[in-house]
Amino acid sequence: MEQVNKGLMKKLVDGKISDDDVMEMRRMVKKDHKRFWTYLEVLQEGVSWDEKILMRLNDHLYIVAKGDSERVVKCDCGYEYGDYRANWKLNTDLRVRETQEQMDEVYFPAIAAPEASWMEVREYFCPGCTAQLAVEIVPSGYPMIFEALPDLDRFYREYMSQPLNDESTEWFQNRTAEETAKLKVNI
Amino acid sequence: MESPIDQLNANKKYILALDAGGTMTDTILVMDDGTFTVGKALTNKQNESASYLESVDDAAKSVGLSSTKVHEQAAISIYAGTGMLNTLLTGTGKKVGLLVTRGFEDISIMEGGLTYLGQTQSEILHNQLHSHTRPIVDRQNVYGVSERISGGSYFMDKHIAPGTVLAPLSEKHVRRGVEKLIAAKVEVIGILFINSYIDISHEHRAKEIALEMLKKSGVNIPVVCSSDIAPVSKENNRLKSLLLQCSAAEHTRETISNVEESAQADGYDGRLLTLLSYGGAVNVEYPRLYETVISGPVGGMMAAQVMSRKLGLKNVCTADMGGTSFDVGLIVNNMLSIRKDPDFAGHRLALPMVAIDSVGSGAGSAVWIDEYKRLHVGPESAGADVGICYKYDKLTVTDVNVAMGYVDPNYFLGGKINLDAEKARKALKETIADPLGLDIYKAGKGILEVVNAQMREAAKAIMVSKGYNTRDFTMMCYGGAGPVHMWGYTQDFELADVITFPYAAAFSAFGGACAEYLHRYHKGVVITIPNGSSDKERTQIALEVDSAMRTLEDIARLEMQAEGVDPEKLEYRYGFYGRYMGQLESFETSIDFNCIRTHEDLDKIVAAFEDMYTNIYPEGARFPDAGYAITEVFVQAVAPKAMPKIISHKLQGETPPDSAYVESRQVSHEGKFYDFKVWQMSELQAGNVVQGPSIIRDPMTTVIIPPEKCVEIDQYMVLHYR
Amino acid sequence: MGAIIKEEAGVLVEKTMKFKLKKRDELYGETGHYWGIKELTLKEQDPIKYERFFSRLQSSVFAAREKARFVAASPGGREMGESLWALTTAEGDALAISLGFISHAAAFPISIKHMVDNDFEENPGINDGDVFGADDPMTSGAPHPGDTYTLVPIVIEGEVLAWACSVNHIMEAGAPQAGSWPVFTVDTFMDGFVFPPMKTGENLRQAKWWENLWMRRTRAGAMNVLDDKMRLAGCSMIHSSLHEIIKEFGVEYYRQACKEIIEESRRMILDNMRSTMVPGQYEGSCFRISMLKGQQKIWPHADKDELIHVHGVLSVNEKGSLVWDTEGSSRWGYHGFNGYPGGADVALHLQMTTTFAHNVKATGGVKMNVESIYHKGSIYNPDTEFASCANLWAQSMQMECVAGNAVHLSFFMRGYLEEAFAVDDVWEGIQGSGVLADGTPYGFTNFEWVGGTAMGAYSFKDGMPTAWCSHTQLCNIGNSEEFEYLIPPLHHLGRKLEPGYCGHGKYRGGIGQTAIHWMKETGQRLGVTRAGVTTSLNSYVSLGMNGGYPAPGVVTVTAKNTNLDEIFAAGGDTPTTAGELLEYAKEGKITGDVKGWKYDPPEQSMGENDLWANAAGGSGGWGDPLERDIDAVVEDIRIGQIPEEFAKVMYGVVATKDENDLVTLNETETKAERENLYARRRSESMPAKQWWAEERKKIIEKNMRNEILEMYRKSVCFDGYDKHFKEFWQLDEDFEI
Repeated sequence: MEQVNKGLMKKLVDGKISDDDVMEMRRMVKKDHKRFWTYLEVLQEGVSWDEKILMRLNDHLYIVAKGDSERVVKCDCGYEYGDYRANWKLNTDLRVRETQEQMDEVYFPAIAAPEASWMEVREYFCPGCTAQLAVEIVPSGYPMIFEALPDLDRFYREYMSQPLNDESTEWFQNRTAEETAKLKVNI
Repeated sequence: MESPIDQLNANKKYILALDAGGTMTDTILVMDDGTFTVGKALTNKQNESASYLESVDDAAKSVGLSSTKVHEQAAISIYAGTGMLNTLLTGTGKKVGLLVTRGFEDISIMEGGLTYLGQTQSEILHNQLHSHTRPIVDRQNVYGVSERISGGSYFMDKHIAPGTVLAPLSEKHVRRGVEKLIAAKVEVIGILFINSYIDISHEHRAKEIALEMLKKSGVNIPVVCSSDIAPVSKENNRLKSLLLQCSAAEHTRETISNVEESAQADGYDGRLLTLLSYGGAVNVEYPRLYETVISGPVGGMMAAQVMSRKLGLKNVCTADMGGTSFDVGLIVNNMLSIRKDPDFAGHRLALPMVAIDSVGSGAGSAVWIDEYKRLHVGPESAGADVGICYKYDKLTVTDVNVAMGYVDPNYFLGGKINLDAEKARKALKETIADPLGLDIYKAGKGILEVVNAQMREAAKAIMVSKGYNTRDFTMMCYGGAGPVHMWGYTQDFELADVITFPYAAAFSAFGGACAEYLHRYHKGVVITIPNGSSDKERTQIALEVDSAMRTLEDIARLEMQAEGVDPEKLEYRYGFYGRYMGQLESFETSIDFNCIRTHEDLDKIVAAFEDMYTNIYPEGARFPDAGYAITEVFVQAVAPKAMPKIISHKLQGETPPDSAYVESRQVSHEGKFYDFKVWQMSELQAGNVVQGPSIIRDPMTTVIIPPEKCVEIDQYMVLHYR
Repeated sequence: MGAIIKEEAGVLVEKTMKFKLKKRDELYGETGHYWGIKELTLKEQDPIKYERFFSRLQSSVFAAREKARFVAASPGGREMGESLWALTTAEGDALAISLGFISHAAAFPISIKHMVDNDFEENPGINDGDVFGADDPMTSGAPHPGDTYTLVPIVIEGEVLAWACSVNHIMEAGAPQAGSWPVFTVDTFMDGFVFPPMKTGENLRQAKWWENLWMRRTRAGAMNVLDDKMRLAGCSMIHSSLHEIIKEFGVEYYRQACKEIIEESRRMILDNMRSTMVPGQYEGSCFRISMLKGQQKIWPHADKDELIHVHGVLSVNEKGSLVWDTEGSSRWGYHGFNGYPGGADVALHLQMTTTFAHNVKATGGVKMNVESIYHKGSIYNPDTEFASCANLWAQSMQMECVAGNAVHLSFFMRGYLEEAFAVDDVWEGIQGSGVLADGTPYGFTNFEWVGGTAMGAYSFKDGMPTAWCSHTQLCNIGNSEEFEYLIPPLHHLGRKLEPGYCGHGKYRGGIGQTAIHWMKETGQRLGVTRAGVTTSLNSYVSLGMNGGYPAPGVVTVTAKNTNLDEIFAAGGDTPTTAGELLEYAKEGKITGDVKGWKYDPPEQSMGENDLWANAAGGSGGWGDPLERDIDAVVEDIRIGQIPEEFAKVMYGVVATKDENDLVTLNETETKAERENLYARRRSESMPAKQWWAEERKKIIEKNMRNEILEMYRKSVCFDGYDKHFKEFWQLDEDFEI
């Protein structure tokens, strides 16, 4: 196999692909450079809204181009999380499992569940569709983990040689602190 | 019941050997003068009897006979197939139910890890390619039985003795399990208990109970114990052998019986034999039929064994170059060397198998370069499509041989197929030479260097890693492409002799007819020889080893008698697996004596082990202070069987007859063009010497003889390359 | 070159290792190319000869492994991939490596640099066929003293041209705590038989004193000697092959080709990174809890519980290669979980080598593409020479998986889903020592769950059980019959999968393994401990993949004074998994003192019919569990991999299994249950912003257990993390936690 076609890509994304096809993909002598475009096509057709997907972040979340000056995180259900440079988790609904009973619900046998006196289980849900987007198991007071801040401009220009039209040095910056600063004001 | 011995009676003329592959069933019909002809038929998977008869008939016709005429005159007929392999790959075997030691119910899913079996080195490095082989038994049909027997330990008599019952067999659990398996309508029940290779009693008692219950409920299905079919350590490997026996072997037994019946109905009055993975042939009564699972590569080894006896060669390295791979094996002191836990179709089995190493480059292997300008040969192969010069879409090794002039495009398979030399040259230029910035012949030379080097390294490795000196070995070259590359892979290689045969391409098939009637019996034991033990203790140990050997001899006698062999005519070979105390691997050690009764005898055993070990490893790896352990003893029992004659011809003069000369041809060899004389194999005579640069052509193969080299033909028409 | 000075040894300066090391680093620094090699001249001139040369090097190490491993005493060394043979340049850069413990290639240069910096070239001298050994983490790059190195120089006319190197994990390391990964240590002096690089033999033979040392200083002397012989046997083979190869190709060709091979490999690996990654920043973390309070009373400074924090940010630099910055990872401490940079790289390079070098020449080129930053004073780079590294592996394996998950998330973002799975390797080993009835002492390590773990879920497929092993490609858990032979009193009462034990999700991780070790004839004494990655006090990594749960930590269950004999006599049911053991105890099906451990138990003294059970090797899930295909859950129930009651709570699937093991799904209840679980999500969650404000308050009020505060203190002492922490919580500059 030299190039993964759209049909196969869709099967892969939908989890309906055969083991043999997957093995063939893994055995490719060289990964197909064009795959990214096919991937975007398949993903775009999978969502109901029109904003152009720039990058997939998560099973449900995408960085999309909004208007010609914004790049925001959007859930396939349509819910928007704002600028991708700030940790999108700040805009989720969060359930924290703190008691041992709550923790024991998510691992089996129960003794395998994290210890409530040391750790908490954080489950991040989409306010739009209640999908579980992320799970963190960390001690109390631990900053939310910012899973991925892609350098979109560099990727599109240097890796895919198709620069985005709103390129700017500003785009590859962690803006999470600015968001939390706003939160502090509201306290 | 006919005994194979009776089949030796002189009035029988023919030997039949069939190889039933996935697509074709090939027959080798050996005449009483040792010559043979080939017959073919499409394999009929639904009814192998049909394709068997068709194939025999096809061979018979070519000598103006019918299958019946041949069968009536057949001393023996041997039928090896890939049936069991297909059953395994397609998961179409019997529905297996399994009783295991309680707590081991997931063993068939976990299969000891081993998700990398059968992968190339670079695939193994690629974690995402790792995957389990489809389980042979449905997890829901595996039930645990509480029981436990000790296997003994490294500390021997200082701790629990081997065979001690740690937990009694829970007959309640056996009954519960068998009930469920009957309800689940399984077609065969296997039993695997931990350490059963040390003590069979729990497995056998469980079998008794199962048989009772089956009888009561009127179900007639076999019950198989791991200790009966593979009594050796390592439960994961033993399980795979058990599952193979359960799911595939019984099915195969039925098939072979059917083929046997139709052969007998067609006039054959003997038993149909089939081939063992460790060489040798057995009839359908053989209990451990799973041991016949791989017989493909074994054929050539058995032919080589017979030839080496005929030629009086002690040590032989076999080199079989076919379309897709190059296989090397060893025959030492006329015994085939054995591997005990071979990997096969994604399973690691406890099964003695002829040790064969393969490199994935054959005549049909694709030749390509990647974006980093690295040259690759294989693993893709053109198979029957030969190469770009015929039906394939990529350059292959054969294409290169054609482009260089070694292989005559107009005489492939005796001219049955015409090859397009121009296309081959063009492809060589465009896909390899140009990108690498080389001229076409330099590129061709380079490719052959790589292919030949790979094969040379593989052949060296198999000898050197066993600690042998290549100078003591004769290399037997066969397989369709063997004689084409013989010059290359034996280059700068110190060997006793290099030989090939006019029928090199059919050598493996011919091997089927050469199989010995032989069984191998092995038993795991826990015997230690502590450092500094007294003569009295050593004599005691000697007797233990001796009794194990005698036990195996007794089993051999009984089993082979049941198969119709006269025990008086049996011939035995002996050996054991030994190690330094603490080592995990045991090393095969053959012995040329069979009576081990005194401490002197035991010292001979130890000496044999030390010889073998220091052959393989540097002095620094010896560790006598640790003492020794014997973990397995084995006995081979061989019965006489009809063998093809290899007739001796009167030696003629060295100069080949004019009738043998065909033409002369330009060949680019080692970077220079030479005028190679072309000779017709069938016209050459015993005693002839063919001087290089020459090519001996034959419909089945091409022998390349470079400048400064020659080929001498001996009285058996064996070609010696010098 | 400038003036050539003759040395006493008669070796030109250019040919000394000291010179070569210096020159190599200068040239790489100036040009960014290995040894300043810009053109692959030999490859260009005759690519076929060049590849033939490399394949000769490669086959020499493969052959060495295939032959030598059979000398071994430890299953780890023989077939479980816990061993490696390699050929390196004079400077220690890997040229060719066998299968197995591949990433130890990162350690060889450190031993060699140590020897050079300490003028080994003059004293004791480095001659052809000398034998050197090492296992000291600080000076040899070993992750922990259980990993033992053998190095044999290939010297021609006084010039060191190459090293044949080998490593394997030995059975017993001779520390106060028996086994090969002591947990209860304070400093390096409690790590066991620790030795910096030293000459232990000549002419491919070890000195007798060396054998004696193993016999005297470890509890499995004979086995360790055999492993030592195994390593040397392989190195001897490589040594002689290399002499042949150099004779065939010539020294000049050899020198140049080696440089080209490593430079070429550096470029190919970089190319692999550029063609599969999305540039950017990826954050991850994990934790390891060290519970020593009350167990180290005689060493007050070590007598405490500690929450060890491992924090890492993976980024792609301007070249397209990777930078792994561990800033924020805890300061080192008086426990066994520290390591030095070499050992940390050995862990990190596991993922990096198999991920980016499986299709190219895997050489020292890996290191040039993975810049690892281990801050001075941290757990990976202690600002003391005495830190204990006895069990670095018990958290560095988590660290390398955090990096691996970052890489796999990047693959997922770019569309290479077939390569992206939840990475974890929840390994477990049990170890100890005993004295048989007749007074024979022994020590042991059981490697079974080191040899293989389940593979994590992909974004399109469940993980498989016992399918891989991130620290070796040769996933192999060995055979019960083999381990029982080696470790007399331990017998498997169970060795199977632990139902439900994995990280769950839309696609679940592979189910983990469990073993119940049953003690028979424990003789005068038997002491058992565990060594492994994080316990079930916390998860293997902090972050699940895309809404899936991360792999659970390791569970230990012990049972003493059991009524096993009665159960057997009644032909009754004995427990077969760690989880079952606890359940049976609860239901009174087994009696005795049954205890579940969520932390590393101190040495347990075991007697007749006592049990030691564990569950390990479960792996992480991927995606939202409520999106899991209902039929997949039903199948899991059918083959007993997910318990019915748990399927309801986790997946909202209501199904029942009858006594004939037939499973029936209740579709209406399932529908209702899933709606109920969604409803609970909505009612039990709050806007993350609101949570932020409440959580911030806890920090300002330091309203959390002291070990957690201590953990933050040991992380914010590194400026970058201090900034990260303060910015996220909007804390004042002068705030001190």
